[in-house]
Amino acid sequence: MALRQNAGPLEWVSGDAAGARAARPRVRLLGGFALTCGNASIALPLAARRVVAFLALLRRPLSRTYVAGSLWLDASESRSHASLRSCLWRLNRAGHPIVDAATDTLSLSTGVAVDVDDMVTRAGALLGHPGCDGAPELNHQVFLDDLLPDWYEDWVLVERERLRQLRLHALEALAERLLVMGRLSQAIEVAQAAVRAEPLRESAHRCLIQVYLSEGNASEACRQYAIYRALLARELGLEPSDKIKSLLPPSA
Amino acid sequence: MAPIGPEPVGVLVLRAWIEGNHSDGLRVRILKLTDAESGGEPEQMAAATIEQACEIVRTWLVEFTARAAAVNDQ
Repeated sequence: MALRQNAGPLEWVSGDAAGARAARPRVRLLGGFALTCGNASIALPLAARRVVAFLALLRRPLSRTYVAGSLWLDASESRSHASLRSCLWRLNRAGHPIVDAATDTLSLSTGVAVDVDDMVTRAGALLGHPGCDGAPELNHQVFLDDLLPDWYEDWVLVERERLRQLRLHALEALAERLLVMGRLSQAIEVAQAAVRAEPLRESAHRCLIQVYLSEGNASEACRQYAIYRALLARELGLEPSDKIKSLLPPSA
Repeated sequence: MAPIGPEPVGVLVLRAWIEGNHSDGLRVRILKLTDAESGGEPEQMAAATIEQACEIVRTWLVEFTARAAAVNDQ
């Protein structure tokens, strides 16, 4: 059943109302913003999305002044606070506890799940980070998407690059794990994703070359090496390292 | 109250890593956003030495201040 609130921009666009209200709200930041609860997606105006994304990334109580000043850089203090109050009012009408608003501080409600946290935990399990126990993730989909790819504010850019570095490590670790397990076609897919995420990263190219060689495909390995070598020469005027050269057959 | 902005704001993000833990393995991916207010996709550059990275940063700051001065003069 679709539920629609007529007044204001907040609306349920799909899903069962009772089920949605019982479910835990989820914020998706990887690959683009979405706020859902159960099967229902919660449509928010851009300003309210920015507030939710900001709180979801920083994950600690933040002063209202800091949030308003960070998100409305070109507004006066009184104007930015008014914009923030308007967003909080709209979020409050969502019918779910998304933001905990204290007198002076704001934070994402503890019951709200954030996909970035999930990705970081799965990456940590692959990379053996302390506190990230459990079976490592063998599905690489969670590591494919950039943080809020069409947002270009400073607080997003910095966090996006930090998470990209983590994704790269996770993808390479996963490709190596799949290679050891003999799941070569999956390993190729994952290593290719690592190369796409940062084409200058030699360890990603090395990983892909190793997988090609393991499946007996020397020509693909040589082609990948040639791609990397040309890119490195064009972008940085450098030659590949001996470590990656040594992977190739002597005749290459 | 005093405005928080609207002074010109630019963003430069450097993501650096060391290839193979070699002394010459420095790689730096640099994202340049000259006008953070209006957004737009950042320009990307890369460097492989500290000097190259510093030169990119220096050039960016020169361009940014010149652009900011031009905006102020309008």
